[in-house]
Amino acid sequence: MHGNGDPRIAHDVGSGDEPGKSIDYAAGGAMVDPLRIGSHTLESRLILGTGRYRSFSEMQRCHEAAGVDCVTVAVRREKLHDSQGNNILDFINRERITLLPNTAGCYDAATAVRVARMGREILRGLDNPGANWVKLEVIGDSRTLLPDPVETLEATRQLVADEFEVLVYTNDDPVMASRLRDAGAAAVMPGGSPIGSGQGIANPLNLQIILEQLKASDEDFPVIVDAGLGTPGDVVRAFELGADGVLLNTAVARCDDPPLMARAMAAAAFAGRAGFHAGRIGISRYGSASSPEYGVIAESRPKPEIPHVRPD
Amino acid sequence: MTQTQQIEVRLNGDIQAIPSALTIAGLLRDRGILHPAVAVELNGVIIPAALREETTISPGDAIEIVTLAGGG
Repeated sequence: MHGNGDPRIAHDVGSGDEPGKSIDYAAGGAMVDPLRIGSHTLESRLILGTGRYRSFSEMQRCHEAAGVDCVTVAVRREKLHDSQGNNILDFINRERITLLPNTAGCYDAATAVRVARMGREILRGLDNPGANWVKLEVIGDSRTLLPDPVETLEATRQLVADEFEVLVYTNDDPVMASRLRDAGAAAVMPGGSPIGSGQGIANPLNLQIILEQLKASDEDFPVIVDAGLGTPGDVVRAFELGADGVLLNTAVARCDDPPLMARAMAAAAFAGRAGFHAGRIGISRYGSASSPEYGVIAESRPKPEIPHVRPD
Repeated sequence: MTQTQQIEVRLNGDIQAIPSALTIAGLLRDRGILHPAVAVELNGVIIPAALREETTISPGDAIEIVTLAGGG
């Protein structure tokens, strides 16, 4: 839908010998690997936020540096006295970028549903394709910012019934993730760790279980790691584990050089996703020579046969 | 000497006096909100943009005017 002229995106899928393979090696590693969520198709598997930047112009440079085509936005009361100031929308390229309104700051299902409907109304007025989806976030505790699972599930049900495509922020609980998927969520978005904490993926085992369970019946069901990531390494790890996407805000907005970090995060998303596609080697307890074992000028010592163990 | 009659409403959480017989669209103009990125809720019900000119505000109404802000 967006950016078909983007030279970084390879358009010819497949390398001939492997039909459907989604990486075009000839294009220098560019991937045709869109992220499909409900009715939306995103070129970038990295989604960035629009909060906490030092300026709107720096935010815009970050969005460009990362090449994102989706950003989250919050819904807040209009300032009734100074509404002529800089508007955040003047710094978002809406020709390319789909807005994803969130329900951040809501502590109960009823308020989250209200905010979601307000966001839909605003985006309809802007004629933005993001009008039919929402990032649902119902917080249960102001200190940890961890989600309230009961209210989150209830809000998911109500918004699905109201024909929203719901991308649900949740904790890394595999049971809750399945309940949200069963309630009709378009994507489940487990946090790696508390929002804005920079702790990375605190419990990779839980994330692996979530991925296994949610993809058991539909391998394309989108699971997006939503919160707590701090470094490009965290992003790589999320994709290596099999996540379909990563949503970042604070890790980029509050670092020392946000546009550089945004570029690094996009590179990490590529590295992690490509690495996941490529399929890693097994992990062995012992060494395994890369150079030929024959023809060495000195006589080799014999070695015992050792088993190889897959990491999973 | 004519004076516009005022009514009290709850606007974005605060009790405020506004001219009587204003429509939602009139209120937005009155407050200088001219950009399109707004949603308006009247007593908990969203008033679609197409109905803002014909929806009149009454005393005691609760009105929320929201827009987009930075968020994650």
